[in-house]
Amino acid sequence: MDNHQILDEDEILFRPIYQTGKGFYVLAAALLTVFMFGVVMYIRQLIFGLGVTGMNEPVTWGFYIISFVFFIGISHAGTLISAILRLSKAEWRRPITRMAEVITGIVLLIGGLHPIIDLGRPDRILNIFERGRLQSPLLWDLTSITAYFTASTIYLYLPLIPDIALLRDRGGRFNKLYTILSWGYEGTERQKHVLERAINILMIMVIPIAISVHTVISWIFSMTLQPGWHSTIFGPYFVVGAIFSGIAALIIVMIAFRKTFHFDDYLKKIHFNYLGTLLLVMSLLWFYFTFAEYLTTFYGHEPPEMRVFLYKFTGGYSPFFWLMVFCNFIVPVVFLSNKKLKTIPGILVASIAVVIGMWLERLIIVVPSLANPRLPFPTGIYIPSLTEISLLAAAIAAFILGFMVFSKLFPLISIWEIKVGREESVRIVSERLNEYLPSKGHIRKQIV
Amino acid sequence: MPKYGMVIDLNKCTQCEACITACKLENNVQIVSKENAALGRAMFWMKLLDSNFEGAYPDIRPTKIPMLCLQCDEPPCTKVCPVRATYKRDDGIVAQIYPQCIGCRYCMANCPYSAKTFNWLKDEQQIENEKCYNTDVSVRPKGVVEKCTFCIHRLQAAREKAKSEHRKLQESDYIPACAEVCAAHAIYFGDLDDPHSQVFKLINDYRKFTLQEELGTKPKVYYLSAKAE
Amino acid sequence: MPGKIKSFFGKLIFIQIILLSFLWMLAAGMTLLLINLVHVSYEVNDHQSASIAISILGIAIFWVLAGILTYVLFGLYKGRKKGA
Repeated sequence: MDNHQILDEDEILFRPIYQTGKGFYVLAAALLTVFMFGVVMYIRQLIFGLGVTGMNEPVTWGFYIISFVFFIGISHAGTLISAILRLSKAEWRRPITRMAEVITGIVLLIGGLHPIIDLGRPDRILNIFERGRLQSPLLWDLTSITAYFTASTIYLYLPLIPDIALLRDRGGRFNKLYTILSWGYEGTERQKHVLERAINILMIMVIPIAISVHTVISWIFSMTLQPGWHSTIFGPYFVVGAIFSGIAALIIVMIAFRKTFHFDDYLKKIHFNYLGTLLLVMSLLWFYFTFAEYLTTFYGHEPPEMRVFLYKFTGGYSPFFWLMVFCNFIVPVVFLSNKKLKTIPGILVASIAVVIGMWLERLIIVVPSLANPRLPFPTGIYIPSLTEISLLAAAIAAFILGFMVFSKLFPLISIWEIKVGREESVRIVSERLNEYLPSKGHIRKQIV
Repeated sequence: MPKYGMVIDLNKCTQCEACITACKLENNVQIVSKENAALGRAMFWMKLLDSNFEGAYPDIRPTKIPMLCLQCDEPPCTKVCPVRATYKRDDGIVAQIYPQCIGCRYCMANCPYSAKTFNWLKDEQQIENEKCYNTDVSVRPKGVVEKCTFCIHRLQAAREKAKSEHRKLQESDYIPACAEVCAAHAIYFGDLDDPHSQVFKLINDYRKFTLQEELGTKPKVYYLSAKAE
Repeated sequence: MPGKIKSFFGKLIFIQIILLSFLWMLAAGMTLLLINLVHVSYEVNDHQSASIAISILGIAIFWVLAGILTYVLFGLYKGRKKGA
């Protein structure tokens, strides 16, 4: 029996798995080329040493650490949308959760590889396992990123099980894979209950793990004595920045897939409106933290701190600094608070600006503090080399490729959640409203 | 247990840079190419730091301080190393374990004195330089961090010599290359805990100061400097 | 026919348990790793308290995650329709 003939009402969500256009292959080939070029440049770095990069003394950390922090930051897209919106029972999250969780999985892999790319002796990585020091923030990093990756992969997988069961029942290719991965799911009441319970536990567990990940990454910087880094605000600042860049990346991914796969009926204007509002709120929160950080630095006026401060505000790095403020604050506020500009193209522009701006923010955090050492040595200069730029391009290519592979195997929008939403949400939400609102009988009784 | 420290008398120092040269030769520190030095990758365990400018233009005289690893008693670098490739010994020397270092450069980011240096490229010296290598000191591979260790190989050799001669280690047995070579006798080295050593007397000199004392790193390299009246 | 289905079913469960065991191996591996690091910190006398605190947290998280996934696997199989 050919199950393809029976058309599901959500057929369009299944289509990317079964139909592959020519554009897919062209794009995949182009991205693979970029990725392989990055791999070649990395092998070259392994042979010749880190001298092939632009790093030097005193700027001993550059693009690799910047990209590391940036990619791990984007991973907060998954937690915010999936966990927090599920926790707050927001019904509009239903078409978005899958893409958010996939973003988290892919960027954690890419971001987690970057410190290894940055090592001078990656062949000695086992030294961390054999003789590591848990007192070092880098080890805290290792533990929390591994924990977050495990938790978020499980959190991606559990809501995926009913969709895999749907795919298994349709027949077609990869049926064996789907049968194995669906774990005998048939949609019985007991099974739904088990799954819901597990998802609920995980959704609460994943939030503190996610917050700890980016806090610990910020502590790599703030636990040092460097001026501009040794600040208590770094923990919350980085978490806010991560959620900020995560929402922006999620919006870009959603718009890209909406266009390519014609998901217009599922990813509606209202989803982008709500996400756009969240992006605006995060932009204002980001600005608040940035303003607080720099105001306290300036007011205290300590000489080593002021050197770094002036380097960012008026010195060598001022173009990047002000571009970052423009991208992270001015563009989002202009486009997202204005009803006329808050269209889907407008939200896309704001999101792209935020992604660029947040990468620049990592640059502004890493390089100026290193370039201005405490002692009066000459100010450092950092010019990224072809190796670093090509590895950044390879990382972005890997991100897109990862999504493309995922879209061929599993649905990009959570089909069972949409079905549950269609069938049960109205009833659940109206029941919930009745719990909030006062009942009708009281007024009549009181008058009498 | 001795606590090794150093005192540098800036009123005697002529800034001849013999100490810097001696250090480089003694410890097989890489001589990098011109292009790499221009990029900021020159490798020096001991440097001259511009600290003061005296006089008016055009007769400006910079006062430079010979800067090496200050062998802190509370080293910020050892705190953050993920693999214990840098650690503080009981005799006060902050040592490096080159085979253990994974090259993450976190210690370099945390040192407030910029005392550490990194092997950015493979060590490729001309054959004339390689012939002059000090056989007591390993040549570091690319990708590891290195810094001044108070010529700890000399300490090990002196200890073994004293042991074989069935006597205790004396002050004159162990001296780092920079202190040995200084023509102005501006660098003093010894046991800070030994009341008979010269360094012990000098750290009670009124001219004494340490760099960035307020950071609480407790460096064991002291400087003596008195301004001319 | 029933015999053939049974052996396929058996193979299926076998593969699924192997996949689940990866998570148990990860939890066990992280436990061994963190305990080793605590042991090293005692050996070199280097902030043992920090090592122990972080290890306890880390180990707990991984076992909880492995437990949740195992609960799901067995729960899904228990909740299947009768006569499946």
